[in-house]
Amino acid sequence: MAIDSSHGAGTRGGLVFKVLGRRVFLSAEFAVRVAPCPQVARLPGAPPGLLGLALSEGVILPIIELGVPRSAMIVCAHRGEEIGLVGLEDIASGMFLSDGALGVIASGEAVPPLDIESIYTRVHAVSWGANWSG
Amino acid sequence: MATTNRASRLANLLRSRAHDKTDTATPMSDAAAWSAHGVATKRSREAAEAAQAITAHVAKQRAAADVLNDRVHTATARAQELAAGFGRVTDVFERLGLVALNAGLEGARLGELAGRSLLLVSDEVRNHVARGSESARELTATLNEVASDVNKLQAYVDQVRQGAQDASQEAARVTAAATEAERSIVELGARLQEATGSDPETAKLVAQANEHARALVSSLSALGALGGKDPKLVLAALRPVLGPLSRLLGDTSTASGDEDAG
Repeated sequence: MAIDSSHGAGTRGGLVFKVLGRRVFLSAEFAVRVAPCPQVARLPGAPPGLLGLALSEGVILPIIELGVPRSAMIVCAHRGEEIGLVGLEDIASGMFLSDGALGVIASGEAVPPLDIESIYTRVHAVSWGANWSG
Repeated sequence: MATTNRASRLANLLRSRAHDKTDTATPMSDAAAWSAHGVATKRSREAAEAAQAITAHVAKQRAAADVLNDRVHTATARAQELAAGFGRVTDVFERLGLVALNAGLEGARLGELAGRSLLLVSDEVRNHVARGSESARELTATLNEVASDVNKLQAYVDQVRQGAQDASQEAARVTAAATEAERSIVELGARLQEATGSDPETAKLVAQANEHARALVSSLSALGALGGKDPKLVLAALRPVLGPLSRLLGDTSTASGDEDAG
C-alpha cells in the first residue's frame, strides 16, 4: 500500500476522476482499488451523503455518495478504515505531473486533490440521533 | 282454287295458333326460362367452385403467413439473445476497464520505474476497452434498429394473418351462399317443371318447332297471296308437309278435311 518513494519528484500516482463535473485527484496513498458499484443497503436516518452500507470483497463498507451513482466505486482508506465513494465519472489511473502541494496536472489541466478528510468529517459530524428524531 | 284456299286457311290457323302461343308466351318463355335456369345453374356452380378455390388459396396464404410469423418470432428471440450477449460483452468491457484502472493504480503505487510496465499495460488495456466498448455500443444500436424493424415486420405479419383470416371467413360465406343459390336454382327448376309441365329439352324443342311453324306460316301466307297461280304444283310440293301437320293439329285437319270434301 505504501507509495514507492523512488518515483520522480515531479509526478504523483493515483486516480483522477470527475465529481459533479469537476475533476479531482485521489492519491494512490488513499486509493485502495476501483470496484464495481455494489448493491447498497440503505440506512434509515443516515446522515446526508452516507448512501448506506455495502459488501465489497468480504468487507462491509460505508458508501459515500459524491454524485449520481454509476457503475464504478472507488475504495479508499482513511484513518485506518475503508470507505466506498460512488457517483464518480471518467476515472483514470496512473502517474500524473505534480501541481502544487497535493494536486496534479492531467490533460493539461490543474486538478485539485479530493478533500477526503472533509468528506469524512462531514459524514461523522452529523448526529444519527438527530436524523432519527426527524 | 280449293287447294289455295286450304293453304290459306291452314296458314291462318297456324298464324292464330302461333299468335296464341306468343300471347301466352308458353313455348318461348318456357325455353327462355329454362335457358336462364341453365345459365343460373352454371354460374352458381362456377361461383361455388371459385369460392372453394379462393378458400384454398387463402388457406395457403395463411399457412405461409403462419410460417413467416414463426420465423419473425425466431428472429425476435435471436435478437433478444444477441442483445443479452452484447450486454454481457459491455459488462465484460466495464470489468476489464476496472481491471485496467486497478493495474494503473498498482503501477502508480509502485512508482514510475517499478510500475512502468504495469502502467503501460494498463494504458493499452484501457485503449482496447474504450474501442471495444464503443464497438459494442454501435452493435447494440444497430441491433436495436434491427429489432425495431423486426417488430414492425411482426405487426405487418399480424395484419396479413388477420386479413387472411377475414378473407377465409368471407370465402366460406361466399361458398355457403353459392351452394344455397345452387340449391335454390335446382328447386326453382323443379317448380318450373311443375308449372310448365316441360323440361329444358322439351322446352327447347318446342321453341325450335315454334320457330319452324312461324317460318311455315310465313311461307303459306306468301303462297296464299299467289292466288291461282298453278296451285296444284304448290299443293303437290306441300303435301308431304301439310298431311302430317294437319294430322298433328287434330281438329284442324278434321275441319280442313271437311273443307276438302266440300
